[in-house]
Amino acid sequence: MKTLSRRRGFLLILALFIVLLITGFGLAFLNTGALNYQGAVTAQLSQQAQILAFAGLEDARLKLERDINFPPMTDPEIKTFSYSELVKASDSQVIGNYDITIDLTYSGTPYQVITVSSTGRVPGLVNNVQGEIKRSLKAEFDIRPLDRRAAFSSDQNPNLYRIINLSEDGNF
Amino acid sequence: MNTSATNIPTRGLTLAEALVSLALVSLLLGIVATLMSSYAQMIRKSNESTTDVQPLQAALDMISADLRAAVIITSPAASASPPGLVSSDINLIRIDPWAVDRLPDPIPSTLPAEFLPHKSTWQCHYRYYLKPNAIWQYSYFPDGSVSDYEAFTDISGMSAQYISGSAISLQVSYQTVTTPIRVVSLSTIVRLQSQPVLVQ
Repeated sequence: MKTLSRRRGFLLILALFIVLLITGFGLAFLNTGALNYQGAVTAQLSQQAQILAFAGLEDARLKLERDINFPPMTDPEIKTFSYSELVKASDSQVIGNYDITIDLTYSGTPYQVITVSSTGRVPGLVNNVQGEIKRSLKAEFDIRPLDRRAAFSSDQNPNLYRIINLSEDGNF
Repeated sequence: MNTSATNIPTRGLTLAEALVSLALVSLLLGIVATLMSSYAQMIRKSNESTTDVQPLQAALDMISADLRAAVIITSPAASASPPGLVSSDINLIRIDPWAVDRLPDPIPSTLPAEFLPHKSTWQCHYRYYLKPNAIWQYSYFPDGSVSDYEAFTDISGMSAQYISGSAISLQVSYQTVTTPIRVVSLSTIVRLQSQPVLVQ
């Protein structure tokens, strides 16, 4: 008789087991969808970080071209100057920021080149942890006032304050 | 011997109850299986799209970066009145990123007489071209070394075209060989950044 009484709850256990099974499948599927979504978001943020890095390069280029006192160097021994700017959308929402490092090591003759490194940063998930997605660029700006070619040495340099070499991410 | 257990009714399920239970469980499982099947199909399609797009995106990123850094682009050909001709080959020259003697660190005590930033000894030549189902990259470096390798697989189309004096439209695509035939295509506009090399 005891044996019969113990068998009475088996449908409840079966129902619970089925619910558990369905929940497990559901969670697994949801996780797959979330991973795909996260990958797409990261790709988008990476592009955004790259655009910010280009914006940083252009910002530095314009400052160099238009402001004779930029970068403000007080110690002649120090050859680098860094700054960072926050980029906001028109609704004041922060998009990210770019970090700029201006290197004057090769600004003297005969090189007359300023190297500028720009890193665009966008807040986002990295390996499921809140962090930053970064893209970096390095550009060389020509600051020689006169044309480098011997035949045109008295002409104005057509590449003045223009990028004459560019590297992206791991390529420098 | 008159235990409490013996007082509990011991009637089992009737056939009708069991059948109703089975029908309900079957109905529930059927609904869940249908939902899961359609969701799995959606996930599979999404994964296929991701798998198809990834090599295309990687190819676009790498070729775009090289185009932006290029100091000479011979293919696609620039046109006096863009858009230019569509080319399935990309030929460019850029400064070798690994030319350490170009801007030496530290600066040598004996400075060179002049600095020509685009000197031919620092130039490397890249050519991206199509082979069946892949993009290959041929590279020629200043030291004379050459490499020719399959850079991206699962790509069946590539085209580039000047759309203005300083912008190139770049497109890569993939077409499945099995039915149903699917074509995935990605394109981007590359704004050229480096100034063209001056004849030195």
